Amino acid sequence: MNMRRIEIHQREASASRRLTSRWNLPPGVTRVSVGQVFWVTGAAGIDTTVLSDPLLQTRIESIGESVTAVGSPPTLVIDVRWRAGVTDNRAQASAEAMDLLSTAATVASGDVYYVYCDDGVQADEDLRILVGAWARREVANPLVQKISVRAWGEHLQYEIWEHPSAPKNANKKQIQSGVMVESFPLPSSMEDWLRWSQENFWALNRSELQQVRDYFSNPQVRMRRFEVGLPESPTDVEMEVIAQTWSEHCKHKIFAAEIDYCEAATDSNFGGLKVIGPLNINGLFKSEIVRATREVEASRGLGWLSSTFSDNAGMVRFDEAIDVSIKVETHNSPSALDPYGGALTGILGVNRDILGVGMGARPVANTDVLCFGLPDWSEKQVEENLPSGLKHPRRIMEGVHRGIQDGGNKSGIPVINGAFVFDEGYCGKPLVYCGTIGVSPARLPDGSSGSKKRVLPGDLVVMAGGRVGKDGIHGATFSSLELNEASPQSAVQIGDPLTQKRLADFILAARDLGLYSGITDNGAGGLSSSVGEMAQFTGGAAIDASLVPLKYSGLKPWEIIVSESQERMTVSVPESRWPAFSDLAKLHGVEVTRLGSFDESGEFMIFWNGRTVGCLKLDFLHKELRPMAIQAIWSGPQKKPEWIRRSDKNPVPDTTRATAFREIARSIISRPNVASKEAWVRRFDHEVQAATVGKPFTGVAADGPANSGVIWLKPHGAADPYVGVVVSSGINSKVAHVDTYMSAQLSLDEAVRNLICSGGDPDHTCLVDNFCWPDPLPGPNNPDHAHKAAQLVRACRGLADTAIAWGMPFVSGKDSMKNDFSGMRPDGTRVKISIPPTVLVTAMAKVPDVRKLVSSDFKKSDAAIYVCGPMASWPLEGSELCDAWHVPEARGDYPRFDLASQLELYRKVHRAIGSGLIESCHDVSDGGLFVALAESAIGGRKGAMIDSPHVGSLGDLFHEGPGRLVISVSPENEAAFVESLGGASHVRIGTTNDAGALSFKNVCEDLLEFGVLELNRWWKGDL
Amino acid sequence: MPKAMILCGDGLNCERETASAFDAAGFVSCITHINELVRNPKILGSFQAMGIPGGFSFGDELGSGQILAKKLRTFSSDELRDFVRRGNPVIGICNGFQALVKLGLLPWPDTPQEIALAHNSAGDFINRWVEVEFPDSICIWTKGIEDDARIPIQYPVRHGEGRVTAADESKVLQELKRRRQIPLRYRQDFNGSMDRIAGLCDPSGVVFGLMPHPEAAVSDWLHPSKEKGSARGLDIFKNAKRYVDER
Repeated sequence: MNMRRIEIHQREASASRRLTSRWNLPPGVTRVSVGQVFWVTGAAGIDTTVLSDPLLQTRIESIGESVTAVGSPPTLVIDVRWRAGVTDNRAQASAEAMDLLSTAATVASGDVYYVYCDDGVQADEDLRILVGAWARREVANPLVQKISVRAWGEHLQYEIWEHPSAPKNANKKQIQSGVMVESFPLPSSMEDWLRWSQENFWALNRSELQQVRDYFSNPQVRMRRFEVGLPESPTDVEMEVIAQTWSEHCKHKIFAAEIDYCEAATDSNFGGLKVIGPLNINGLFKSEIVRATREVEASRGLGWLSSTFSDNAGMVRFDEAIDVSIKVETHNSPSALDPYGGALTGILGVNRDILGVGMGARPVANTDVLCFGLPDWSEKQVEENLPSGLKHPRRIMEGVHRGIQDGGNKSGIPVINGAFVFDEGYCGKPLVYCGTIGVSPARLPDGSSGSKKRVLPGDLVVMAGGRVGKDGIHGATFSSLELNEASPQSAVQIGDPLTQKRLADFILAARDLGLYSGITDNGAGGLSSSVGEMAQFTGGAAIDASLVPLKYSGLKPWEIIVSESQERMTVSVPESRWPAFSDLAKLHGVEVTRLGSFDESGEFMIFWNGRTVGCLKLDFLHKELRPMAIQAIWSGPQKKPEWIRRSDKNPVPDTTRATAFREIARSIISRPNVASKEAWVRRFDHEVQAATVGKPFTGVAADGPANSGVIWLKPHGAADPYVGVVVSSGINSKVAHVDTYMSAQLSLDEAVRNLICSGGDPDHTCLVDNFCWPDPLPGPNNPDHAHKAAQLVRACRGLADTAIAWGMPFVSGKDSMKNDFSGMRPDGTRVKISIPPTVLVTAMAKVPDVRKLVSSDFKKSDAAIYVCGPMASWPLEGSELCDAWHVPEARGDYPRFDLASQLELYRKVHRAIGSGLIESCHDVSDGGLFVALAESAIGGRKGAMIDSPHVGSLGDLFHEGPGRLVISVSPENEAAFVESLGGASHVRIGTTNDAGALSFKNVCEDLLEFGVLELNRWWKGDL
Repeated sequence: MPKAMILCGDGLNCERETASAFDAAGFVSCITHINELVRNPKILGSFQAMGIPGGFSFGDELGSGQILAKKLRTFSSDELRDFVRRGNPVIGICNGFQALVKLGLLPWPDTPQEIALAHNSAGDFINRWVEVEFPDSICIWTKGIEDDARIPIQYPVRHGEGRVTAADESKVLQELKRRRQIPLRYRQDFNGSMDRIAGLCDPSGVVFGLMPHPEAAVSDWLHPSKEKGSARGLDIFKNAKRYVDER
């Protein structure tokens, strides 16, 4: 065996110029170029030509070549390698290629950055520190990568180039451990129990630990343990299984808790906000979300809910031939630590949820809603204010964006809808919502149901896909804890889209051949969760952890059982189908392993080389956890919490003059929450699978924003040739500090409105709720926990009331409850950053005919422009206007949002779209009516004259109240359109034209005018 | 009806829409796993056309199409060459195009690699619809597709590595033009490709590689304009059918 180091550089200088221009280089550095490094260990004659393209790249294989190839040497070299155990996709593909084409090899990969400096800059210690800090900030993440900075001379050393032991490769790493399974003596005092839980990252509380103690002291349990040869006290395997299964992440304990809710203030203080208390709630999930669905289902007699809340995703019958499934997940904590890996595994993870729903569904579209701190922090502001351990919001955004890009593109799943939301409250933890829509046949080829699993006793427990390593151990419990400087690094992992794509292809092929009886994904909690959950179908399972294929040796049984290594599904395979199943896996290049079988024992049994290392009753694990009790007291509307204010706001200028108004308008349309995201979104493939009829951008130059994404279902097996599914999202955390009942309702309304705009049917709409919350439980650093808990109650009620009124069932949902960061400011003071309570609603509806889609852009001149929906003015609090400027008296009483008439309006607009009466339709949201009009004008490159008395003030143009649509109608259809609206609230505000300007007659003393191209320039800005 | 083999697996991801386009043009398509082909390359003998669809074979690690090309070359080189020599049409779209170039089937067989598909000049993956034109060429896939500048044909592009480049661009370009091997160009510079090349064919005209996705432009409602007759992707596949029928 010999080890070779091969360094590969792009021939073209343009690549390095591009990177250099993108990065914020440290002072004195003029240029950086990047190369790839491979360490290949294998037989002497191994063929490594596959590693590079001779036309585009040069190879350097020795110190001598290095000197001649480089010409003028760089001042410093940054050497970046993956830490042991971190997924290295490039190395894995290289090893596979060499094995296939030549002989087996072990490969590790890394990157090398050549840093060139101004003449006269010395490669001294100061420069190395500066460049090292830059590298950790901009190009690599020390949590997953090892970063060394060396002078050129040092780089050209035998140890780096030819030392046989370099680098430390995960594949070779032996994680040695003597004892494989430990048994814990039961602590005597509760304090010891709590310390024990904390030390092991189990995140179990007092009451849960009491239940654990009670279980293990139960005489029947003791007897059973004696029979199977287990010690009296729990093994590490068992404690880990319990902790993962009972984690907030897996068990949603807060949503299952008994809550005592009341309002601290009286009705008169609330300014039109809803009074709902006092309440005794027996689980928010059951009593609000599920209740809403069941009420809607019963009152409307819905026959199209194939599966709600019970499986990995919600499933809805769309057409006699297919079910459409939907799931939205969050991956906030992992994305805070490693934005790229966190987002990548987030998207791949939710794809697996779809792959594991029913008998398996094909992912056909992704959505992503991403919340970050404002991206424009200067380096100085970062130095002075950003707590240590936090990354620059822009770096997080770039990493997350790249993760979503690779996750979607490399899996061949289009990203069809999403949003970027910015607020300083997301600096501590970004929110990364990843959603996936799937399609599965209502009947599989053998005639059986596509939405029902049918696991039988005796079926094999099979793990399919990637191997298991130490990555992601304790992900489930970790995300159930607050983020701080000491958060465990093992929770970070990088995804492997290639392995998952192969797995997905294989699973769908196996499904159609009837080769398995049930399936679920391996996500949080790993095998402990997936096997544990599937065992409930038959009432038991037994597996041997020593059979699990590993990435490297040395893992302890408990680590194998709870590892969250990605790209794995757990499948139940009837013994008779196993040969065909494993043959098909081989064809697809997918590893499958039998771990045991499902049974009716009532237990989850875990063996290690045949010896029992765990035996837990399924009921204990899954059913007997006592709900926690939470106190919730709503203190009424609050001031928006600010952990940082980077600049003071100017008072809003006198808007009687057009010049002042224009300044305001420009500031709003170029704000990060409003500005065009096209440069980011076009890097997501949004139409692979050739079914995206509603694309993210629309209009004559394909740069106007779309309201929602639409997928045509015929290519995915629908019986109807033109039926489609529209997916949209609504998110509002801006007024959460005022009231979460309202912010949740606004989120739901925005989601629904967005799909109405495109042609979605309000009577065939379902919803997905995703709550991301600051910690609502008591703790030393959480004085207002009861208010946060009350905010959660109000948000749930806001969603439930609206969903019931509109007859739209929730089919799936998820919550993430510990979105807080606590740490130290640069000046040494403690700081806690909590996210604003954030509800994302994803709405999905049937589009009866994809040929009749409507988009947001104005289509022609002389079209009448209508605003449909409530016209009463809405307080400016929380609007973009208020975020940018100091607005006096922004808070006020909230008008009632009339849900019944709103539903009537949505139905009427939907019918008008079906009759072809509408040219364009756009929702009013961030930035108010002004931004909605500007976006429709930009998309269609049309002007408009707005001359209605209803559009006369700053508030009219910038308030962000609910329910409004901007609709343009051709003159010949106007009468029919107005008639079709019946009594629904609408106002004609103006007319489109070809004058190239968006003009307002009644806003300022003089004519207020904006060139459409000028608006476009402001809107595109430089986000 | 003629049979078309559409490759799948190892990270390719456009096989279903590519197969649909072949079917709509009158072929009977058969989605075939790469491993089925490399295990038994003789199966090519029962097909009359072949499509290598888009995707991210091997995760684009080591460069797009790189490992896929080496795999196909190592295990089925003779059969592929024979398939082409017998005049059977082959199309490689996006990742398939990248693989055909690295496989040595484009633009000139049995010669050292002279062109490459490098990162787009802007550096990033991009998804948008672009206007294309069809210069006079020997390619059987684009034969007779009318090239009307007033209503330009648009196809979607979705790639990060699609810039056609060569070590000696002027020499290569001259040769490609002389042999009329440039069947598809972008109307405006989109990714820095030399001479705005969007697709190339081999000297016989039966092997066609292109970065845009005609298989995603087969229904008018998939086209950004949604106008009747706007989706012109199927023309390409129909040409192959006509060619196979007329042989």
